[in-house]
Amino acid sequence: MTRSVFPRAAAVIGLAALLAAISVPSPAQAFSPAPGTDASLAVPVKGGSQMEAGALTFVSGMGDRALSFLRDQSMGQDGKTQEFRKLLESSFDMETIGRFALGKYWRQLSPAQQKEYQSLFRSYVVKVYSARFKEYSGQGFEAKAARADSATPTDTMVSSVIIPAQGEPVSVEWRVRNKNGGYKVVDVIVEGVSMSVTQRSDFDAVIQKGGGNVSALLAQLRQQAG
Amino acid sequence: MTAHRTASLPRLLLAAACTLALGACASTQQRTGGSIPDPLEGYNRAMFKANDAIDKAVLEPVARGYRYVTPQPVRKGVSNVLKNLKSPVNMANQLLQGDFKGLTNDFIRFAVNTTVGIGGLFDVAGNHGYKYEQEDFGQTLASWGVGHGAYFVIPVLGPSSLRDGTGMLVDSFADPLNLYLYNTDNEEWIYARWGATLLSTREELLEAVDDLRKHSIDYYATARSAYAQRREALLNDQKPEFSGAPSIPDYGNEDK
Repeated sequence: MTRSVFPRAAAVIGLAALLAAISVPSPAQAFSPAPGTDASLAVPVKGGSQMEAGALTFVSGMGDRALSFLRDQSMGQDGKTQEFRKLLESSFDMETIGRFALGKYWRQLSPAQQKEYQSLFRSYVVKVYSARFKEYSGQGFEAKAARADSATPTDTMVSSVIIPAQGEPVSVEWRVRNKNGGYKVVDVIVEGVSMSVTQRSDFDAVIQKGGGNVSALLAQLRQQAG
Repeated sequence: MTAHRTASLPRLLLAAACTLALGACASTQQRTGGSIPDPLEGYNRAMFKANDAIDKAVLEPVARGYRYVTPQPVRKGVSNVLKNLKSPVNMANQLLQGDFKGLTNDFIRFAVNTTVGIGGLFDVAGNHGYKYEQEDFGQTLASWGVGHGAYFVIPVLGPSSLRDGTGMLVDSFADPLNLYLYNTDNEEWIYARWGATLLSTREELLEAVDDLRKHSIDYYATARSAYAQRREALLNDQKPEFSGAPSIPDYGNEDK
């Protein structure tokens, strides 16, 4: 005998409608830019398409540089970490990335603490990413396209893919800032997930657990980076 | 009794249509910058911890075993078939979201992959530019202006929200294949499909989960943020210009 699905389906749709009613529609959640991002303050350094082409070349070159030491079998883990540290210093705007990761808590710190935090943050990033190198298994990299970011005239978004030996390619976007005549990465977005935003959420949770005191995070970073 | 219940269905559809009309005014590009309200954090953290324990004890080892015993083309085939089975639900959601381009894309995928791709085993359409897009009722609700409501960690399945969890239920019960299996007393195949989907998805996420687990100080908060951002990217069909990621301020020009 066939059973009718309707009573159960109706009950479920009723439940669903109830749950949907609880989930408050929230247009107020619409993104509002962080203070200090007034577009008029930022000055584009180069003309649009020239800057985009430059950013694309920059990301492509950075990928080649990373692949060359990742693929170098004669180089040990320490050597690779050294190479990565150099790449990070030359191609990433670590001041900006570190400060964004701390969010509103930056202002709680004294200049000396800010300096200590930035140095701890760098060591932390180097440590975390060098651990990721160990998992390198022959992936390829290709920078594909660049486009201007309408919200931030100094920035170019460069899209790229990491191609594993087997399995699905991973899409990675680079937010590249043209500043003081050079290019620097300020965010990396993997399959729609921003590493900077994720890092900030992580740090924010640690600080909140420590009663809103940044020293809880600093202690963690000292421990992790050490 | 039954008559009463079935009569309520048109009324529900009417209610849905009203929601649609209202939702049309709401912006579809909500940028939350990876934040999601979490009033249930106490429960969520406990459930997340329990899920993590279950995952380490059962799901992850099974997924690793699955990867070990099957070659990549087989796993790809399994994943393709499961995705192809979701086509009717995907298409319904594209329609409800008013995304006709997406609907056409999914229709071509379904038609080509089911026939030329032998029951969905081979993603022939994907190789010709008709890429798979994950659509679900959670995204449909979002396109109507419904917010996440609250972050909600589902037992075993993990990160979700009141909205997306609701969407998952609706998708599951509206799925024509599930309805057919249920009505023909083949319910065990519904569970088999769930199990296969869980296993296949977990296998695809092996590296990502491993990475989050190892490289975050607060794994719970990091996973929550990644979930919110990922959903936002899916909601915008991964169009990078609508990525949820906020602009990064230019601190050098801001003060000092």
